[in-house]
Amino acid sequence: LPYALIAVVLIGYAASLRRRMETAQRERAAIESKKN
Amino acid sequence: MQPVGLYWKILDDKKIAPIARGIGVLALLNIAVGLYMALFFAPTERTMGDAQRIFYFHVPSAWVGFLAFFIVFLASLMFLWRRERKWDALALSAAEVGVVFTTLVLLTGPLWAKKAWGAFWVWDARLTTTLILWLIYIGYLMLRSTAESERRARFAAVLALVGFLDVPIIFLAVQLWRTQHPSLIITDPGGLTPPMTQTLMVCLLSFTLLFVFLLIHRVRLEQARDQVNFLREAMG
Repeated sequence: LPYALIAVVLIGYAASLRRRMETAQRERAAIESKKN
Repeated sequence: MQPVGLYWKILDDKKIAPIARGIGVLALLNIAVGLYMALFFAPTERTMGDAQRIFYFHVPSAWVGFLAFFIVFLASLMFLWRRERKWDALALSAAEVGVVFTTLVLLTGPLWAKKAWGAFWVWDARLTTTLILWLIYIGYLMLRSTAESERRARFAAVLALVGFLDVPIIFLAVQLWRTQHPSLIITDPGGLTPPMTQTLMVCLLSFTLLFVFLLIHRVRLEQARDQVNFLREAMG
């Protein structure tokens, strides 16, 4: 159980980092396309 | 505050992507080896039995939490001195990763405590000071989650500096007060057999690598967000 808990927290955090990065990249692309 | 752009150029460089990926793969491999060692290589502890195996990931989580908050401390000092956004971004990123690992300490500790002491939580000096540390940096992150301003960033940097004072207190808690928490391994090496020490070392290395991997990505995220805001402002 403790190891599963650790895995859930770390995978969840890594996934949240990835999702937030994708959002930032999407927003940047949208702004740049508007600019062009 | 400086205009926002590519302040950590090295992290935006295409070269960093394979390096970060390499660190990530190395961390995963190390975790797999550490997991194997913790479950099958390290002997079962005499008094606590298999519950003691939590230790191999509980201690590395605590170590990484302290390392992260030390980086927050240094970066906050640099930010207050130089007023450069890159230090503020590094402090914020390290604080977030540090909170994640301290959360792991506060989750795995009670599970171990239940088996060892018969209770999930006792208001022991080390447990309480660790909880206070976690709350301080949760407060720091809450402060940073609201609208950004240089004044708020400076206030957060001061909070981070004051908050870090809790780390040596946690470290010394087992010596300063009568506590149920086991003492430091460094000061009591006789408690661990060589396979236990080797397992702990592998787990410490794997969590340190994982921390570096997560920190690189968290700082890159902060930089990407700043670039978006910068572009937005430039567009009017």
